[in-house]
Amino acid sequence: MLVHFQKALADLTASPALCREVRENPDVLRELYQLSEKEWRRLVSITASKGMEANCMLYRANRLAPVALNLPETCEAIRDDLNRLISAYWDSEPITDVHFLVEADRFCCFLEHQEELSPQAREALAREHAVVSAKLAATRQNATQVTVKSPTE
Amino acid sequence: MHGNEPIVGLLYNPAVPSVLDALGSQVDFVEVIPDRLWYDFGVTASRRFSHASAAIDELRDHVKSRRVIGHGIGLSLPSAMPLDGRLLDEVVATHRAFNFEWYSEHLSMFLVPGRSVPNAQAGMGLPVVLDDETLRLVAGKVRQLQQALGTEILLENSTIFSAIPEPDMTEPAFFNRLYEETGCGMLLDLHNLYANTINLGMSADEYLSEIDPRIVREIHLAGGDWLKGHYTDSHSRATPSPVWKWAYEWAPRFPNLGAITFEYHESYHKRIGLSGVAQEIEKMHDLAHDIGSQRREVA
Repeated sequence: MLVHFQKALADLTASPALCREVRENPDVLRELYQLSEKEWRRLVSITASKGMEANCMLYRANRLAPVALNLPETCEAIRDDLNRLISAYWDSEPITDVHFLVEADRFCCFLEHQEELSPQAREALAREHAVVSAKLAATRQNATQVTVKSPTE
Repeated sequence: MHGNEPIVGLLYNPAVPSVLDALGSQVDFVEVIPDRLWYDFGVTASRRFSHASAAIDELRDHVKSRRVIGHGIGLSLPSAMPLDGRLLDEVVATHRAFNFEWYSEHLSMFLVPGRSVPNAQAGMGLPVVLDDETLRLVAGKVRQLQQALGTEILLENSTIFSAIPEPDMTEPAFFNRLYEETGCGMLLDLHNLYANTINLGMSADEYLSEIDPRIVREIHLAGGDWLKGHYTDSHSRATPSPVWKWAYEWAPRFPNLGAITFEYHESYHKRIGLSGVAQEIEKMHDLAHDIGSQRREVA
């Protein structure tokens, strides 16, 4: 089924761990998704390809973008631990939110519950979370069903 | 610019207004990504869209004497799910506001089927299966877009890192058939093609030779970067010379080519610089003149 094929491709792109699992045991795909033989062969081949590494890297880079853009000082403050923390955040929130401010806000909330943050990181987080929250509140306030007006309106 | 030359323009981003102020009439049009003009709280939100009013006003100020093309990233035509009607309504409203010359989307998947926007975002463009099923799916949505927007629809070739094996047709054949069945033209991104030749070992000449020349309405130019052995379409540099070479060789063969666009991301504005963008625009005008001359000779 095309729906399952596309879902599997997206799941693989989001999860290097799933890619590794499929490389070791391609039948995992059959257990997780309803696939034709051809779809299964396609996914097994893609998962084994060099390009899958790029897909996974770009997925992570794209998901990191809203956090890096809105929380630069926090990212700098947790620099050595960023990879672990962001991976843990993504495990807890596997679905990306396309609204950059919502995604940044969710990461802030996640970080606030991490006990091992340094005082410097916590300070940067508090400062930047306040800015993100204010911007998010402003976009929520403006949210409406009214569509873009023409220049003459 | 002569009547038979393609117009020359830039993909709009927050750094572009300063370029437009500096280059004035050198930039014939701007290409606008509607999705960047709003915040989307998702299909379950009662008040779903929040418009970026300042950005819309700034855009409006800079398109008074310019043409505008729409270039979407959110509708994800190849996804095996229905079109997002409310998102389409926003695209239609933006078209009404800015009167797009035409509107384009991508031949890649940005949404995960079975989930709703925004939580359905795959986070990047994924490759599509080139077969009859996908063709029917995309063609149906193209018709919906044509009806909703009442303007010409184009589809762009994308950068991919893993081609889906055992395709039923090549990518140019997919574009050709889509044109035959729906009239949907092609936005030929030569830099995406360049990236695919590097990453996938594709032959640009084979690809370009197979495209029905009538279907190409717009060309995208851009530059990219290397990421751990992969070449990316990061919109981070000036157009590389092989891409210019293809543009000069192939663009004059496309009789319906109407626009040439340089794409760069605002985060690389400092790297490319105003002078760098100006050089790209100048070279694009040279190309457009060359195409116009060849068209006049044929006529």
